[in-house]
Amino acid sequence: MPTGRRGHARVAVLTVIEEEVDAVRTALNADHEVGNTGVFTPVPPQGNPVRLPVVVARCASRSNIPAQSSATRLIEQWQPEVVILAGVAGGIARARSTNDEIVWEGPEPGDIVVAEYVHYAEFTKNEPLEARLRYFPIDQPTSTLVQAHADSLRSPPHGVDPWHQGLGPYPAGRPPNVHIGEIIAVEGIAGDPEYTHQKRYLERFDHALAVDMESAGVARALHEARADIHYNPRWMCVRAISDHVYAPTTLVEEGAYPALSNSEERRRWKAYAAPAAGQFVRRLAERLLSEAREASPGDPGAEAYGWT
Amino acid sequence: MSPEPETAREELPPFAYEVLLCSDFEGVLEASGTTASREAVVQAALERGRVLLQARGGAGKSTTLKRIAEAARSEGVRVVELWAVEWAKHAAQPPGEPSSADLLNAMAHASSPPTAMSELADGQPSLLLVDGLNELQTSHAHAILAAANTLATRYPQLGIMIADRLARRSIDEISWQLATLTPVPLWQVRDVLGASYREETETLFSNPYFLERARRDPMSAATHRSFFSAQLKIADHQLAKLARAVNLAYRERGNRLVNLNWLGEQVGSSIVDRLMEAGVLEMVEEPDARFVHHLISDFLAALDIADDPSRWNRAEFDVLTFKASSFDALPMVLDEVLNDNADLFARRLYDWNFYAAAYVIAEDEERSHRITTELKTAVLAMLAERRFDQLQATARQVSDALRLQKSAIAKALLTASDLETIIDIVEGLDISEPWFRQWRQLFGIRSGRDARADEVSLIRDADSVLGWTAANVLKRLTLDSDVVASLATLLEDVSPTIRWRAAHVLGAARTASAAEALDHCARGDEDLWVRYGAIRSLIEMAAGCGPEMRAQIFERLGQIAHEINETSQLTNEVARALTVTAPPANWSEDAGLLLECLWADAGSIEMQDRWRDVSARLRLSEPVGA
Repeated sequence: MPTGRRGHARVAVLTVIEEEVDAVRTALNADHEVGNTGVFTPVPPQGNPVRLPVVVARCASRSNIPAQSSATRLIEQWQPEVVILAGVAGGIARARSTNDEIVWEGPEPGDIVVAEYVHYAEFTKNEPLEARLRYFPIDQPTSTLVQAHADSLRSPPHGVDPWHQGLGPYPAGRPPNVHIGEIIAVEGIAGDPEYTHQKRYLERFDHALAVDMESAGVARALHEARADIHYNPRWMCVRAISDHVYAPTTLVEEGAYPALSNSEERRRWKAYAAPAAGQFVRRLAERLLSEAREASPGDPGAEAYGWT
Repeated sequence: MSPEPETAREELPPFAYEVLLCSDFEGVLEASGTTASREAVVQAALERGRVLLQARGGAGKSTTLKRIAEAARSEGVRVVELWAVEWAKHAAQPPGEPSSADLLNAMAHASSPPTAMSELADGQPSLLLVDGLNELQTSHAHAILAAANTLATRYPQLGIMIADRLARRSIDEISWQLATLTPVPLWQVRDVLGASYREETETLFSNPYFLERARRDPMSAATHRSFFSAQLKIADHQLAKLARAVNLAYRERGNRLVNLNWLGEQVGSSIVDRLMEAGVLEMVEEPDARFVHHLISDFLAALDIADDPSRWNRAEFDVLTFKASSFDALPMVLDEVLNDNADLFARRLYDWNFYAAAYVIAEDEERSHRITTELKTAVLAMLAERRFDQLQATARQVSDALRLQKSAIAKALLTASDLETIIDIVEGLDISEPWFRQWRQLFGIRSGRDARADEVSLIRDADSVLGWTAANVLKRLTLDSDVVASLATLLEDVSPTIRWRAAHVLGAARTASAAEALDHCARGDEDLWVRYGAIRSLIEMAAGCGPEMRAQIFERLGQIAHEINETSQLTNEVARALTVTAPPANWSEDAGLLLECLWADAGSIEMQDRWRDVSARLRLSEPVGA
C-alpha cells in the first residue's frame, strides 16, 4: 500500500460541517492532531512515515468542488485504503395515496442512508422542452464494502449490539433505520419543494433516497486518484438524515407540501443526526480495521485496530 | 533549462541571494517570508508537493533551480528537469491550447532525462523542476500548473518546483508553497561594482542578471545595447536587423524560439555564427534556437519598436508581451526611448493595459527614473481608485500592482481607506505641472451629482491618462438617459480605445438601453478588448441592477457562451468578474443562467470543471441556510 506525503492511514473519514466533525471525532476518540493539519486520529502520530489506523478531516467548505479538493488532499497525504464521507443529508420523501390519505414515504430524520450509487444533478443543458444531463467520470461507492458492512449493520447478526446503541433516547420514538440506496448530489441545499430544478432532479432520479452536496466531489476525487495499479482506494458515503426533501407529486397542490422550507427541521434534527452518523462510522471503522493487512514485499502491512 | 549568465564563470563566487518561503502572494510581492536553504527547499517540495518560485526577470530563478537540483541529487532524490516552453510545444494540439492531459502525455518527450509520467510511480523520491513558466502565455501557464497539480496529487513521493514571473496565479494556496528570491545583498553589490557603485542604481544591480553583466564588463553593464556593441562587436545597423528579426519571430511564433536558418537569412550567417560562438544563442532542437536568457531576446524585440512611437500601440504591445503574459520587454523599450518620450511611452502603455503601465513605473523607479513624478502619480492614483472596484479580481490585481511600487505615494495610496482619501492625497501634492493640474481637477470630481456632456466628451481625449480618468470619474456620477445615449454612440466610434472606454463607463449605468448597447457590443465588436470590456461591464451592471434585468443580462450573455469559451481572455475575465463584493441576493442563482450555458458549451471536462468551480465559489460566498 503506497504511503502519502504525511504517511499512511487505513481509513480516512471526511466530514463537512462543524457538528459532523465533532460527532465523528467523538465517536472515534480522535483526540490527537497530526501536526497542525486539522487532521485527527485516535492514536498519537509517531514514526516516519506515520502509520495510523484512521484519520478524521473536515472539508474546506460545503459543496462538491471543495469536497473534491479536500478528498484529493486527504488521499495525497494519507493514501488510505478506504475513504468514508460522513455527515447529514436531506431524506427524500415521496407521496403515496392510501385510503384517501397522503402518506410520505422515505428515510426519516435520524435514519442512516448508505449510498450504493451517486447521481450528480447539477448543471444540465437546458433546452426548451427538457434538461439534458451532462456527465463526468466518477467512482461509485464500492459495492463490496456496501455489501459487506452496510447490511450487517442494518440488521446485526445474533449476539451483536445494534450500531445505534448508546445514542440515547430516540427523538422519533423508534430506533433509527439503515437504508441502502441512491443519493443525489447537488450544489445547493434542497430546501424548496416548489423550486423547478429541485423538482426536476427528484423526478428524474425516482429511486433516490437522499440529497447531499458533497458525494459527487468525493467520488470524482476517488476516480482521479486511481492513477496506477498499486493503489486501489475504495469509498463509502454515510448520511444521517436531518430533514425531509419533498419530491414533487400530483397528489399535492402547490403550496400544500408539509413544509415549504426545511431549514427549521434541519436545525432541530442536526443535533441528533450528526452523532448518529458518527456512531455508524465508528461501527463501520471497527469492522474495517478488525483484521490486519498482511505484509508483502512492497508493503509493510498494517495491524488490526480496535477501540477499547 | 535557461542558464543564468553568472554560471558561465565558475571561478567567481556565486551571488548570495536566497530563497524565501512565503505564506501568501502578498508575501511574495513584499519579499516577506522565511529564508530557506537549498536542502530545506527540497524538503518543502517533497512535503508540500508543489512549490511556485516567483520573481522578477533576471532575479536568479534558473540558477536557483540548478542549485536545488544539485542539493536534491546529493540527497539521493531523482531530479527531472523541464523547460516549460518545450513542454507546452510538445503537448500543443494546434489550433487549440494544450490541456493538462496533453501535457502529462508529453512529459517524456520534453523532460531531461526523458521521463514518462508512469515512471514516477516507482515510489522513489523525485523532484520535477520546471523552468520558464514566465515565458508562456497565460492559458498555457495555467495548463502547466494544472498538470503539475495532477502529478503531485497522483505521486506523493514527487515534489514539483516551478519558476515563474511575479504574477498572481489561480492556484490553491493551501496546496502550493509560494516562494521568491531575495535581492543580492548590498555588501556583494558594492563588492562587485567597486568604484562604479552608485546608490541610485543599487536596486538595479541587486538583480543578479544585471550584476553579473557588471562583473563581466562594468562599462557595458547598464544597457543591453552596449552588451551587443562592446562585447559582441555588432554594429548598430546589424543590431537593428537582428532586433527586427527577433520581433518578427515573436509576432509569428508567439514564443521566444527562433529558426536559425530563417535568422541567417534575415541578419546574415556571420552574425548568427557570432551569437552561437559567444554562447548568446543556443540550439534547442534543430533548427530552433533561443537566446540564453529571455531578457536578451526581450531586449532585441523591444529595441525594434523603441525608436518608433507610431508602433507603441496595442497590436505591438500584444506581440512584445505575448498578449500581456510577460511584461519583461517593456522596461527595455523604456531604456531605449528618448528622454522626452518616456512619458509618452507610459501613457500609450496605460491605454493598452494599466497593469503593464504600473509594472514599467515600478521598474523605472529601480532603474533610470525617466518617467515623470506627475505621470507616475496620476497612474498610481487611478489604480488606487480601482481598489474599491466591485469586481474583486480587479481590486486585488490593482493592490498587487501598487505593492510592487516602492515610492511613498504608492504606499499611501495602497493604504487609503476610501476614494475620498485618495482624492485628498492627490489634492495635497505640491505639483504645479499644468497638465497634472488639469488632470487633478478632473480626478478630484467627487461622486453624488449628474454627469455632464462635456465630461462625456473627455473620454475621447487622445491622452490616455485624461481619457481613462474621465471614464473612471464618469462611473462615480449619475448617468442620465442623455449621457447613456451619448456613451452608446461612442460604442460606434472608429477607435477601439474609445469604444472600450465607453463600454467601461456603461458598466455603471443601470438602464435597459445601456444593457442593450453593451450586449450589442459584446456580440459584435471586431476588437477583442472592446468585447472584453463590454462583457465585464455587463457583469458589473448585473451586480448593481434589479433581479429582472439581472436575469436578462445573464440570459443574453449565455447566448454568447460559445464565443466566451473559445477565447481565453474572455473565459478568464468572466470567471474572474463574477466574484463581486457585496453580491445581491440570489447572485449565484442568477449567474447560474450564464454558467449553465458556459458549462453546457464546454468542450472538455477541464473546462466544465472550471465553470463548476466558479459556480461553487459563488455559492460559497453566499450565506447558507441554517
